[in-house]
Amino acid sequence: MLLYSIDTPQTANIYELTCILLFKIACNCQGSIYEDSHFTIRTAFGMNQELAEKTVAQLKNASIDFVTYLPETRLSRILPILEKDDFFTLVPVASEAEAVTIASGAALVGKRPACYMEATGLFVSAYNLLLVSMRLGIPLLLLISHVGNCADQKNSFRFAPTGVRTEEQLKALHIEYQVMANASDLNTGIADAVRMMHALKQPFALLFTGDFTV
Amino acid sequence: MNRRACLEALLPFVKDQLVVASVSGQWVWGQLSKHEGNLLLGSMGNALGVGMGLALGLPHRQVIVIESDGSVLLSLFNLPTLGTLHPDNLKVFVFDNEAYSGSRISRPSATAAKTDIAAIARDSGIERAVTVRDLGNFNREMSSTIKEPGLGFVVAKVEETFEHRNAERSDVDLMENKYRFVRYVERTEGKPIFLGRG
Repeated sequence: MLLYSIDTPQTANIYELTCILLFKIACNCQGSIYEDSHFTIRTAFGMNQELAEKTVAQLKNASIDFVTYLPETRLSRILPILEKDDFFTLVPVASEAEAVTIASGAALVGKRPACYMEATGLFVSAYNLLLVSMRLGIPLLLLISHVGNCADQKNSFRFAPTGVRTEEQLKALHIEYQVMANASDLNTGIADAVRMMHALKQPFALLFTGDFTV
Repeated sequence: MNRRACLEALLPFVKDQLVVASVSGQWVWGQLSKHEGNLLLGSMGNALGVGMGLALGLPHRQVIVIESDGSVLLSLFNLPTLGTLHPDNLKVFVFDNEAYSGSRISRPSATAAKTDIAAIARDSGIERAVTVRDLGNFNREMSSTIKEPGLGFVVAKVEETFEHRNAERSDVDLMENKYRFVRYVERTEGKPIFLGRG
């Protein structure tokens, strides 16, 4: 038996909800469309709750306290967790370009910032990374959903053409990075990256794929 | 109205604020002000975003952004984000000469046609966005914007001038400017900014 749970906020558009429900029935999937914050989780895939909680805990342990973001699918479960914790300043943006500039400004007054984005956002924000973060030498953690990568469990023709170029783009920008493909990478990966970004005084990227895209 | 005259009027109002300028404003402002809290970015499309980050990161400190029409148009997505975040300590001054005069051939920007930056700002949730067209009105709006709490956004319609084309350029590069700015913030806020000791 399939279960369709729709926790409907007052502001939800009934037409939109109906469309989503029909879509979910068509896809033979189940789950809750709305979760207990204003963030909407409409997909049945992406990192699981345990990994999301562990990711946020590791960010906090590494003193990351300011997160700019443009939501995407694979890692989006971290957002409600970040939102609930007053330790973090969570900043929604309209473009990854300003995710980078806003986070860079915050770094210059003592915040420890991260930018959470889909890999396609790396291409959008290349100008701002080069002309602000890198040219001024600003430590910045890039939390990148490595969509379109070979290990992306939900890879498709929508993502692969950019995904295969993401690491080359980082190399071209001279941004150091690590690929996070296994859940166990969380044990030290974020702490290592944050230590490195402060040592370099430059952006450092973590590319999440594999276990984080199941 | 002349941008230099506007910036000269702004100068005595800058005490301990943090000031961010995009590429066009920084030449004149850099000549007028040697304030340690100046962050002169040397690029277009970045000052408003960086200013938002400063304001959100240090909410008790006033932050001033000196922008231009071309720079705002390059990162127009900043306006809805600014209207959403609405930092009360941020004061934005956009000097709109309706041209890309840094190009040396002075091609018109979209504001020379029908685009109204203050109107876009208001419709993005920046309720107090205004346009001023003469120095008297600029002085009045600038003064109240700096003195009164709340997000401020003043678009100053200025004539195109060419002094920046011959202005002597500073030999303080962006990295040196950043460190001077960061040390000023550290000293005045009493906290370290960068981690990673030698």
